[in-house]
Amino acid sequence: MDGGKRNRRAALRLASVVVILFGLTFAAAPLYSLYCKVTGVRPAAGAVAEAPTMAQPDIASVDREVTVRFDTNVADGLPWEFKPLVGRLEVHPGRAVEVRFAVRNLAHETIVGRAIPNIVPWQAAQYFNKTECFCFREQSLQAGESREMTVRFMVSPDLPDDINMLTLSYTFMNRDVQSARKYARNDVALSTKGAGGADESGDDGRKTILNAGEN
Amino acid sequence: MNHATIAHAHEGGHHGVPHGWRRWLFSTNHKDIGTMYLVVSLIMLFLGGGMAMLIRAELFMPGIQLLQPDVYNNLVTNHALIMVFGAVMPAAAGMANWMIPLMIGAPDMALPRMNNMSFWFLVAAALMLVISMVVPFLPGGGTPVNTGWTLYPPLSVQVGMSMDFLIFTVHLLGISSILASINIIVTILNCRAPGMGLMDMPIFCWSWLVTAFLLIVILPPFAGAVTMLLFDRHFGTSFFNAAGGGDPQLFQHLFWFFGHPEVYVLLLPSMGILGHIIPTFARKPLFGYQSTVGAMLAVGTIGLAVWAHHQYTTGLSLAAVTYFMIGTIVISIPVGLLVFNYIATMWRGAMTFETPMLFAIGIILMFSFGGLTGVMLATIPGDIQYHDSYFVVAHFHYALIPGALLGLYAGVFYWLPKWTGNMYDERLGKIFFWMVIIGFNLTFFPQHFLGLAGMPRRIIDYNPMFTEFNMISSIGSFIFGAAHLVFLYVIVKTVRGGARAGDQVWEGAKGLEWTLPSPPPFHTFTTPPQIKLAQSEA
Repeated sequence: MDGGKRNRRAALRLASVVVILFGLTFAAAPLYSLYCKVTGVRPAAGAVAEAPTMAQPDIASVDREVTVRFDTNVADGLPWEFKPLVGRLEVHPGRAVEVRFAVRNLAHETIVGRAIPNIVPWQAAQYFNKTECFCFREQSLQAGESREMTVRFMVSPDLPDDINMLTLSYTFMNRDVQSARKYARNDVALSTKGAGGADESGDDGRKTILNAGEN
Repeated sequence: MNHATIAHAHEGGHHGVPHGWRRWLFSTNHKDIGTMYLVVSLIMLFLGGGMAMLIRAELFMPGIQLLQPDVYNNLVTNHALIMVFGAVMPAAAGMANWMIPLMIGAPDMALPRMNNMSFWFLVAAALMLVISMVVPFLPGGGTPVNTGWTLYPPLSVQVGMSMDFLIFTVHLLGISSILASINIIVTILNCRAPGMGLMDMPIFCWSWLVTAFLLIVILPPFAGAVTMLLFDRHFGTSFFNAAGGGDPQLFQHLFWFFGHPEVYVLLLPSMGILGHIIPTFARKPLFGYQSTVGAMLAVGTIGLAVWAHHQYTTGLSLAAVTYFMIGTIVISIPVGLLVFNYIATMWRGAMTFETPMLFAIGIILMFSFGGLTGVMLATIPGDIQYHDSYFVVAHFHYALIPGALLGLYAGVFYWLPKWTGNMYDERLGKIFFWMVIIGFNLTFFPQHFLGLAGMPRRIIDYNPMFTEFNMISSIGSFIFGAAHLVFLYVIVKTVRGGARAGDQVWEGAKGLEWTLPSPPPFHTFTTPPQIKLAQSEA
């Protein structure tokens, strides 16, 4: 029976490797965000920066103008309307700018949403400092309520010369899974369209990169 | 021999061949289980191949003719999953089951009942996959899985319940493959005939040892990732759900940590098979046995650390993508070593060109081509242009069809006489080979041009300017598909009869498996064979 015992022991050892790795996968979620926080992999899209270094506002290259476009999206399952008050803005790098976004709850009940920002092209993300933002915070809107929200930001003067246009994009999502399911557009055609929409925004991002290169 | 006692203890004490359905359902015999694996993989090959035919028929002309977009995307998804998990992996596992005990002189696999379990888990997984495909057509079934085999969220969080069945499919497949891998590792480590060291082992066993270790490392994270997906879909967690602070990109990392080494899981067993076929038909021992083993180990190890080259366009930092680019290109060194060792084996050999050898030479040529486009894709600036285009489709089909699938075909022709005791029809084998080569190249070569011209993948329709190349590609795929009817015919014909094959089958073949009769008796090596020095590879 010696051989059998040896085989079983080897098999159990290998099985424990499997179990440990399966567990580690779940640990990947917190570890991954920790990694991103520590290394600052995607800084601008993530955190709101410290108070701006307003000490050097006039170092701002007054002759340089960068176009910032504002893009708003509402994810499937959130019955809200979400629009920027200004579609695009010419800004001087180094100057703080304030823009406002309008959001309205179209449903007949209170809904909690949450916005995730994104910056395109991603190479510009680290030069885009938000000092005030509604994103990542839960926004609770009562039935029919509308609200204006402020974003304050500054494009760093260090922004590479080849980037002349960038897009700040927000996607509002329903915080509650049950509620999201309730308001989801379930039919096949729409959900396919939703997928297509996601693809288009991806393409849009690529175009922006290309435009930035050409300008 | 203790293994033998354990292996056969449950067969009710008698040592005859069990009869009827019990022989197969309750089988603990490595040869029977190997046969069942091979049969299932052949069925899956035709299922996945049929899907490919539908896809190519739809793409014959621009516009939407045969399929709905969602169904098309579902076919793309399932074609990949079925070919990877249903056809290639089970076929390789079937050959491992059949050949590894014969090659190392073991009476059976180390854990025969677990062997039975891993096979039937595979069948359960196949049924679950079929359910996932059927569910969307039932009332209230929701959308089909239209994400592609990568199952990226957020789309995979949104699709209907067919996604849940697909997640369970992945769980079952994972369990099946992990159990099979554990069994193979234990067999190789514990059951070799006395006197056979690890470095005396036939190269096919080495390729499977590396593969099995890879599977044990990569499948648990994949199973975990789809479980997290399941939680996000139903239990309100936010691992990948950005609304709750999750990150969809984490799924991409977990998926590709599995998905990239998976390519080597598919590749290595076939490379191991070539390591037997080429020495046999060149009538020379394998050139550089030790460096071949080393190259396989290196491919397995480095392969675990280069996954993010699939994610260059997601905005990783420059330092990260640079690392992944260098890592990826470094892999071409051990892979190149394998190829060069095989070429050097042929050098000045007394070569003959039976069907397995023709496949081996074809594989070396075409797989190298896939490797070359792989280096192109590994470079960041190139990849940003080629990403998600037909260039990628052409690349991975050039890597995986020769690298994995054709290697298995070569193995089928090489070992079929050993398995059945009958020689296959050499003329039909050669017809099959040439149909495959012409069909395959006609299908996928033009796709390089389509990709460079900007045709995106995974979309049912395309710009009319791509029509000509797509037509050529579709015609090629129909030839490729028709070739498999010849393949099926050759196999059935060989199983039913044909010229008798002797023990040795191939003049130049070396190894323990060729000392046994063809077909080998139900129980082999119940007393361990004497290993003489000067094994073919030693």
